[in-house]
Amino acid sequence: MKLELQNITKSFGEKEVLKNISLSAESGCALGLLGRNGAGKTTTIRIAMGVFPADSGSVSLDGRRVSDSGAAFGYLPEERGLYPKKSILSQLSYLGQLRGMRSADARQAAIRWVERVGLSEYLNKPLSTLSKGNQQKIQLASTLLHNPDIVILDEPFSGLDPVNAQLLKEIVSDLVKNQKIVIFSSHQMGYVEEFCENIAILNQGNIVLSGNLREIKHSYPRNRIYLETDGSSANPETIRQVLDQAGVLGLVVQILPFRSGYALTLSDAQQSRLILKALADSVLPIEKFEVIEPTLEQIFVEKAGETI
Amino acid sequence: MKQFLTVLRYEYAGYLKNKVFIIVTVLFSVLILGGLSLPSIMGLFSGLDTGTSGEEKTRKVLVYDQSGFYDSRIFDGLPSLYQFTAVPSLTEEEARAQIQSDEIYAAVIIDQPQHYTLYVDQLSMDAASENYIGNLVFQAIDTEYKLQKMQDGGLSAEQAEAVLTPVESNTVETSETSFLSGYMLSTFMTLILYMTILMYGQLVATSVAGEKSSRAMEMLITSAKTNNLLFGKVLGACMAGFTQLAIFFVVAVAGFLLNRSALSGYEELFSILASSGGQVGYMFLFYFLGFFMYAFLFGALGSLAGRTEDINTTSMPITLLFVVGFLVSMPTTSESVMQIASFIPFFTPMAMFSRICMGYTTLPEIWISVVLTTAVIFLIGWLSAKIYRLGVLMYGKPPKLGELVKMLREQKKY
Repeated sequence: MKLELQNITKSFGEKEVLKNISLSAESGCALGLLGRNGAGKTTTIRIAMGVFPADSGSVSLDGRRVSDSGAAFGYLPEERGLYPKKSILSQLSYLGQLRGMRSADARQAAIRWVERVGLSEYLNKPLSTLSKGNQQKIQLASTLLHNPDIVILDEPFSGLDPVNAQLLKEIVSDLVKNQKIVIFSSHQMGYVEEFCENIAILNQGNIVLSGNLREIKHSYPRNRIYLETDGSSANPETIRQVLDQAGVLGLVVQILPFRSGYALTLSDAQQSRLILKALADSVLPIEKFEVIEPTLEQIFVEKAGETI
Repeated sequence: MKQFLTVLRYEYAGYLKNKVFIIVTVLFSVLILGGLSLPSIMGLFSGLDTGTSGEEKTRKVLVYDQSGFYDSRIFDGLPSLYQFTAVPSLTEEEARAQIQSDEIYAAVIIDQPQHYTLYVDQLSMDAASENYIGNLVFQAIDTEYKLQKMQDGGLSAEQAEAVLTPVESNTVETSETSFLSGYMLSTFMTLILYMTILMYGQLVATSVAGEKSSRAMEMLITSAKTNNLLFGKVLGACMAGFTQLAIFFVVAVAGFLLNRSALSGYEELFSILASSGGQVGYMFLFYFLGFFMYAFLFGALGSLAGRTEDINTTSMPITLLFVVGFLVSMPTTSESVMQIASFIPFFTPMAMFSRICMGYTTLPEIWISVVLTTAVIFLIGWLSAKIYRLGVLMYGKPPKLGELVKMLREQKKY
């Protein structure tokens, strides 16, 4: 399945929120939808889900209109909230039924999901008796209980402790594995890098960068290499000596301390193999040797941080 | 349709399980039942007093004629409930003491031919009935005094009696509903309509604003069509209100039937209830009309309020409109004003209903107003759905009317 948004524009009053954006998400791999606050993420999501229409452009699933495809959406909004005073089971089965499930099925699915997030003993308690993190797990259950084809998670990790974050990671991995279309919106870049094969960065209503995350990273200059050795046996001087002995010192422009090792800037990215060979043949106890890629955070700040 | 029914069921069940709903329903039912049982309960207590369970024992009344003007037989023809005994002397203190100790029921001291004092423990609820001691004693003494005086003046006993025999009069109200019963019905039932519509209308607004402020709305609007959410919610509240009205009605009828014998003294009430079958039907009809008209508006306004605290401000215009509708529907309003009001759809539910109770209207008039109101309800439902669709996605300060109209114009159909 492929969800495609093409040439979407949307204005609220005078304000143009989305300016001709296009993006697509495929089943079996997650799309990270990134953008600063107010960049247009939520509007994009709402248009994709048909909450309101775009001024122009189209939303399609495998070439058909989403509403005709019968595909179900599961949406975890950034603004969390359910009925605080109603029992967890009753409101989950209500939401399940609203999305077209039969009453008994919705109930069963609710019980199953509450169990999956480890809160079975609260099934008949009001939502407000739970802590914030646990309420969020219930919200996640409500998002997924009708087994949606397209799952949109807006900041799913905010407010979760490491154990719950692990649980959520497993659930998201399962979704991807089960060939769901997963759209993941977050400011926590670490999670996006972990889950998303593809990303789209929105800035002021425009898509400023989109595509396969690996390819995007590869497209950045690859002439910086990270070198880490065991203990403190290496310093810029010893490294220079080793490279000099191998006759490749000329390829290295600069050696600077980086993380717990050194960053070597090469004059030619293609020559990194020669450096690796020289180091491997040397006496230096090498622990890590890798091309330094930009982190998603760096890419994001570069693409979305220009305007304030 | 399925989604609409799901919302309707959930909302309706929510009301029925709501503690406030249960408490209000039970409390009012108890009040209605208690009110109707009051005469029975009082009868029970007075039965305990006399120990004769139901049949009242004779009440002793002492008569002391200080003036010497009256014959002791003047009280002979009075109901056997009272046993009048002439005594040669009686002071006020003695009379008070004997009444206090329950030896006698009352005492009459005639100090002059034209003046007497009646001592009685307490004027009970039967003050209005023909067996009331005050009336009986007054009539007996007054009649005898006039008879004597006329005879003194030269009339024969027959002539004097003829003069004193009152003219028999009979008034018949030819309208189907008597003014009193119409007045009572109209006031009482319009008040019930007013309370129920306003209460449930406000509940709809609160519920919508609550969903918004708790952000449950985010889940709802992405799970269901906004029309289904609004219409299901309004109809759910309407059914809850209807259920409550029906419960009160059943309790009232049951209370009435249970206490039928004790209520026999209240013929007026009897006839009002017996003749109000049609009005109850109309009350339910106008309940639905009034409810939909206002609940849609309340729902739409609730969606504009971001927080439950804002509801009062945003729903103020509608509440005021409704209060005006209630005021012009009071039976004290002039007939012509009420007639005009009954064709203004916002006022129809209460004004037309009030006119029906008062017997001021005709069937064609009723149906014209019903059709007119129904048409306006559809219009309001459509408009409210538009406002709701806009309102649920809007956070922050509720928009001003001008802004709202502008936004509604820009809103596209999807």
